Amino acid sequence: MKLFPLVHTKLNPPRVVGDLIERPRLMERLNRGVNRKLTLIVAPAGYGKSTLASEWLARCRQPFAWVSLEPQDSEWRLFLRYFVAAVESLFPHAVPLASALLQSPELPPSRVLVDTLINELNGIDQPFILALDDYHFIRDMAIHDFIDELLTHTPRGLHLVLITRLNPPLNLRLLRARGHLLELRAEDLRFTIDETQAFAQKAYGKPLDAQQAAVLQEKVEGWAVGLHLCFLSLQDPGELDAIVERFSDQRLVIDYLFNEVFLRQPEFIRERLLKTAILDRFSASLCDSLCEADASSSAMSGREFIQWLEQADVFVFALDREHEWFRYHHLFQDLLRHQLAQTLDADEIATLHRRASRWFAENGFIDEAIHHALKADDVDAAADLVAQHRRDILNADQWHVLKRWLSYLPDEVKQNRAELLLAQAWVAYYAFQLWRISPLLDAMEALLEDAPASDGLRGEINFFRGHSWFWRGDMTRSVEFLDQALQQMPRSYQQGWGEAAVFWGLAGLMNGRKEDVIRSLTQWLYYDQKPPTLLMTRLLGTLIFVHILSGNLHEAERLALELHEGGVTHGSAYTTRWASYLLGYIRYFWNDLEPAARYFETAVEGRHILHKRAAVDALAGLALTYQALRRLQDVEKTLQTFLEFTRTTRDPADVAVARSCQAHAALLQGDRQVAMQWLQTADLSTDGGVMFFWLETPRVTQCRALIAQGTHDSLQKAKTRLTEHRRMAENTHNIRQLIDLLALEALLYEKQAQTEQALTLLQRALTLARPGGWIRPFVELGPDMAMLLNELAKQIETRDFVAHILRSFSATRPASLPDQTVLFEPLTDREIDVLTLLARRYSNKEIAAELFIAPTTVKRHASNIYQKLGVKNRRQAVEKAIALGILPSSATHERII
Amino acid sequence: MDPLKMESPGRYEIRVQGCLSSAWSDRLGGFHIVTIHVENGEDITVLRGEVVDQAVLFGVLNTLYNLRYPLISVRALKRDETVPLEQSL
Repeated sequence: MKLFPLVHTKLNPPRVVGDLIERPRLMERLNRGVNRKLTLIVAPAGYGKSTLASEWLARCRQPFAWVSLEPQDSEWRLFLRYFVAAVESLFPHAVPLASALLQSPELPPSRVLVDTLINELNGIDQPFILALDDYHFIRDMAIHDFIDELLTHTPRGLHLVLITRLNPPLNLRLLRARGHLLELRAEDLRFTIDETQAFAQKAYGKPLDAQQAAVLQEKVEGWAVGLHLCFLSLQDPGELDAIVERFSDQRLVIDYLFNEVFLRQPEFIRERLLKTAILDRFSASLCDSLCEADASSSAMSGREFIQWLEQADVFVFALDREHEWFRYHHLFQDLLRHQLAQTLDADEIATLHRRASRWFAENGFIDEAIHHALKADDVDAAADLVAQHRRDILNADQWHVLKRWLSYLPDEVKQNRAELLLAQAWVAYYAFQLWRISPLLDAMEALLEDAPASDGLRGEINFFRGHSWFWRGDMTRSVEFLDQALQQMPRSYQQGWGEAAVFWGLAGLMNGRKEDVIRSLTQWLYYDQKPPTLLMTRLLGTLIFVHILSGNLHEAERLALELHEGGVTHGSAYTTRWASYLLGYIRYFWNDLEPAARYFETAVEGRHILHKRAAVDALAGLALTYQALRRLQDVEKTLQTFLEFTRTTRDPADVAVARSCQAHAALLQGDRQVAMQWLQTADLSTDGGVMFFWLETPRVTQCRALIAQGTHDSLQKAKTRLTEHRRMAENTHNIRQLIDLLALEALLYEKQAQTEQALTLLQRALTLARPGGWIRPFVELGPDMAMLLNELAKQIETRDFVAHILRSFSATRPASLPDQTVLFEPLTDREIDVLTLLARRYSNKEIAAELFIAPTTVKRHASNIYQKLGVKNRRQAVEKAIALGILPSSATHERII
Repeated sequence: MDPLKMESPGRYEIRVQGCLSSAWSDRLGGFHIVTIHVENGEDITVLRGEVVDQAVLFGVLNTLYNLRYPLISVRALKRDETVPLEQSL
């Protein structure tokens, strides 16, 4: 079933169904205001705000987008998702980063989101209008702050229209003073005498005389809904005098007018009107379903009812071009609901909500289905909906929608159903709140003691058990549970099954079943029916992890490039950033430092999009790569960014990695003081359990620091630790860590003047490192390691690999910076990025995808580059850049994908 | 009078210009609604009632705004205060 996490009709401006009154004086003002930053339309309900704005937009020549806000949209993430969806309805790939950020488990700080979004909006180089209707529903100050920011640093193409009943809490004074604001208020929106006459002409086909029009205009104060009701309630303008007489000394009263109109309708129409008033939007099919088996249904179908609404010119808006969805004017809906509450009793109204809920559920609109179930006070039905659709929404990679659904349900319901406990466990899993999972599993087991669970449920529980054993380092148990999980869950449940496959692969490898794991993953990926994107990404990622862990960097690189290509094809910034991180990681260990730095830079730039733990390791990778390149200022800056990033993730484990990386870099700089301080205060408690392949592993850095300390005690302690870690790495077949650990141990023995043992260990490390080409673990240990390798080279036959490593020692010297001084105006970093890709013969579109900017922005950068270099085309630009040393001479060879 | 708090109950009197049917009471926080005719001017509607917190009060004010009733006054009443309707007009 197709699910709709966003309500698409909210992205269309509501269009009046009946005849319209021309309001040229207002159109004129709106047209003139479009050069300002903001149009603010503020007036009470019923002044024709939305009608005016949507008519104006329909006629104006500029592209426009629209969001109809509702009370529940006053939530930061949901608001931004609608905002971004509206922008994307105009410019499909204009805001890829912001869009990806909104999918991340925990939203990045609003500063990051707002800057990214404004930046990307700024890349749209044509004028466009964005209208937010019913902005008065917004209460979250973060959203007001965002709009304020948007108006302070307005993207050049954007004109914003806010339509609201209440003055928004924005800094309007400054905008007003600078002439950036067009304001239309109740005073401007009131119908004039001329417009009142035109309105009457449309309603009756004959004019109102000027005096009548003047009196009426005064009585209803030019209020659109009042006038409309008036005209609907009178058959003939002649009756007007009677009304005017009746209200000679009073204002016209809305419920009087409403009753006049309402009571004149036939019974079956009244019933229809009242029942549909519970709906915030309706279609013919929904109307039928709502009124099934009622008296009114035989009199008129949903289709006929909507036709009647259109002909009678009652307060109804069309919400899409196809005229499938409609809504009442908010005020009219309010009046109908008021009437409904006086006509039907609570049970009857609840029945209507139940029917609406069923229809919405059957058609994939789960948010609205839950909303109506709760309105019917049927909490169980709402819980059923979440339970039934949780897998579909997880399959669609929309776990925070599941989180939102859960938030609608009361706690006692959530705690008493296995499916809902599982739903909460998945939300905790994706939000990295792993400590929440175990109590949920216990509650589930307790529930299932009485009622046996289906296989699918068991499978999910077994997944979480296996997952937990994995991180505790018990691979045998982990594989046992995960084996069951994979059998019990259907593969069509790609999200749950995919997660189980990830950990089954890792646990299997660490349990010594490497061949088995690679065979199965390959089978699932390439030989069975082609997996859907989400599952494919997970399986491919796992295969890469498995190859890295078993030391096979070449195969890992091939697959990481495939992953990158898949990410580009499917427009997934999350996947491409993962691939960048992995490619940076591989190049780093190959001691291929310049490309490593570039990959890590891309990954780090997208740190808020990336999986949090991968982002942490990418930051460590970037700092250590800069260190290896002796770019010390960049090391400092990266470590700073790293610490700031861990402050936003608020996870002590991340802070521990950042601090460990800082000490690691200090050791490489020979700054013993910083490293020793860290050694004394380091919190290693978060780095327990299984060792993964992470580049920065605090417990290993601890050993590096202990060896550097060089005292008898510290060396002894390092020896104990290293032996422990090595055993663990051996037991879990973790070749990646084993290479590092053996090299370190060799160094340690050498320091203790036990060269014989040192060489044996080093020989072992080299044997493991050679197939994958691991160089960095040796080079990073400096001159002591170089001497040891030289020593070893004398003894062994196969010297090619040793020689290769030894050459890498001498190659690690400060990189010469490109000399740009011959240019009058140096290229910006971004322009160099573009130039680098131009050299690799990327198309504009590919560059745009790679750098997450719009193709038009690429063109602009390219023309700036040509201008600065004084050339006419990309070939000349690349040649000149190489000649000037801005690009390395090898730049043209390296087409990565 | 006790200090007012956002989350505490209170009694209020709201006056708006124009006449309003008492049938709206349910949708206006259960306020008691009386319209009085003033000799030399328009009708005035007085709403009195108890709110459990300020959210209810602002909800009522919002609904009155949406129904286009211009506001004359809002006043917190003392616990046992009873004021004749005509007073203080």
